[in-house]
Amino acid sequence: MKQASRRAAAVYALPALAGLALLPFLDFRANRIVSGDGVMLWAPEIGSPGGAAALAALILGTVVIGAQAARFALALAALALLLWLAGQGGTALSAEAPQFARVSLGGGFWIAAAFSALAAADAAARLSLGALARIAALALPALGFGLALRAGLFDELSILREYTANRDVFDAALGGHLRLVLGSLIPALLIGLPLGWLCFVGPRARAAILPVLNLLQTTPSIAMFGLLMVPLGALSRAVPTLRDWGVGGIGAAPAIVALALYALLPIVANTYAGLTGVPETMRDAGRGMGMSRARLLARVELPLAAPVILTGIRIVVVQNIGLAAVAALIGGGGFGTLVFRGMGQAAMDLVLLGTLPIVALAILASLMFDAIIETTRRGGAR
Amino acid sequence: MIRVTGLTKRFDGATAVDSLDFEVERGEVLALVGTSGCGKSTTLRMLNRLIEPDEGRIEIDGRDAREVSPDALRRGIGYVIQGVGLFPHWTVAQNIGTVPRLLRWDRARVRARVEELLELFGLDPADYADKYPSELSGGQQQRVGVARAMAAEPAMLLMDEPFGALDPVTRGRLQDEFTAIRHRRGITAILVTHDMDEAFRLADRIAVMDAGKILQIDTPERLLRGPREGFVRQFVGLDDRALRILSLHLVSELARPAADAPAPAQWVAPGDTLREAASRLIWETGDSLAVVEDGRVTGEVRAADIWRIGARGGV
Repeated sequence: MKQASRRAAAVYALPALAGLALLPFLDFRANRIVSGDGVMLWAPEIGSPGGAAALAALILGTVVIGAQAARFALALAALALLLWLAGQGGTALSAEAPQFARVSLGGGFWIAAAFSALAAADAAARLSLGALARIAALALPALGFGLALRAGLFDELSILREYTANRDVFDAALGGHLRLVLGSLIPALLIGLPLGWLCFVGPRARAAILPVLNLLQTTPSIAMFGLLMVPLGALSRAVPTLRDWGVGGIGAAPAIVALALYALLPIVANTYAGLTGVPETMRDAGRGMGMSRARLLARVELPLAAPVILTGIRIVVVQNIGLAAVAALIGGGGFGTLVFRGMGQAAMDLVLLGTLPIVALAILASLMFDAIIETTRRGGAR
Repeated sequence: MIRVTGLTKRFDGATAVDSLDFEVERGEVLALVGTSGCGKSTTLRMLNRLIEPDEGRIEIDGRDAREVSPDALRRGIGYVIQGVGLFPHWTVAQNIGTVPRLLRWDRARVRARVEELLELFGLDPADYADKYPSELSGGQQQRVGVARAMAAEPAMLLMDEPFGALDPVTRGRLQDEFTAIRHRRGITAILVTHDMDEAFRLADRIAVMDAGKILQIDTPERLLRGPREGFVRQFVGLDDRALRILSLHLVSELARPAADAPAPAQWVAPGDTLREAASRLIWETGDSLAVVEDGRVTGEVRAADIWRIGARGGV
């Protein structure tokens, strides 16, 4: 067991060290578009040999030390040091540079950060923490990161410069992204839960519904947006009230419709599977004691199916947080706006500014749902 | 009182239950016994209309069961399902309170009834009321299952293999508890089992079923002394019928007066069965045993009397 976890730790530590040794930690560029000169970790502006050695020691520590809690703490400490070195290095490199010069995070930083995060996740999994404990364990580092961000530690890095330049776009993108995800989730639930129940009570309904949803799920998202433009555009021309509400062939409306359609299959399939998984004896007991069908559904079947149904909703939320990025192609808003704008300007840091919040939202959503699902499993309904 | 006449159920043309007639008096326990697929569970489930009969009539306290809505009917009939069937997401108290809550009893009354029943089944309410079923042993779950069926003081209980999934020792203890509670509270019940011993221990009358028909319905003793030819004879089992008959009688029925004395080494209590007394007599190779209450001899029971009870044509 200890050997296995040590081997796993080595699998994360060695690429992290190799990345730091072989690839630049930061990139220094004359302006935001040209390619730049790599700066290695041990350069005097960044870590100097001392900082580099400390980082290497932390990463190696995750392999040498056996206790999982200590591995978790060391991996988080390595991440913190990586971020601090990047922030410091950014400030130092920009100090004597002209105004248009940019400092971006380099391949070495990304590889080391990714593998340190994986090492922390691996240690946390081996600790087999509950969902709430996982949230608590991540809250402190997240708080620290937030404070460092506020204090301006990373202000000289190109990605933060992009944020400063596009702050209003970013804020609108955050609101737009959440609106896309929640706006599609609510109608999907209102339609999907009853459809799942229909599949459960009627084999004929199931034979009709599931193939259609499977077909929808396999339609590529860009094609789906295109296909929705025609009917929604026609609808808004025919019904002026709808146009006043912002419904049209482009914009948020077709994006929300498409995302809701993608959400249907996981919700319907998991509602069906959850209800089917409720043992027949539970129905027999409930009916035999005089529960009406509606009460049996509300008090017995749905609570017992809840973990499976919530797992479906978790899939949908995480999936749509990612898919919503594509909505920007048809003017739907969201973080995709930043991604596509960055691609258009060949400004990779702007692309990152759109991508990282999407990843963070997805992680946050899945942690939250894990906690909710865990609490619904209490009471021995495991 | 329950009166069933001409009860029939067909599944896809095959007759599962064929024109049954029987009655159960208030305070009586009737056992339906037979092999798997003989129609005994189907019969039970027709009584609370979980399965609707094709033909026949079910009267409960003089009222046709079809006149009542199925849900209302079921709330008035306790149901102990096969495999316990406690709701895993509800506590013991919530499980027991299921039917009272459906009947809109107020909270305090439900709580009081739950505590009363837990005490009746030997489970301390302070320890068990807020536990979840997964935290209980099999025997405790089974007790809660029966308590749940009795919660709203139903006119009768339907029990489908109520102690089926338990080890023999726990099953025996629960059967004794059930009999004790029956004598204190007076329970009317229809019990489905494939275990003849369970039927002998719990039931006042036994209906032996095969292929959807009741072949014989009688008291345990009459069933043992005069089983019909064929399936009943085979199912009841005649190898140890003398001993089974003895186990239906108590020492107190045969006790003769005897001089007061301290208890000897070997004795029986008035509440022991004649089977236990017979076993002790065989072991001691004696021809009589002292009957002892509270450490003093109060009578004696003679071997010759016991053998007479166990003999063909005995009384």
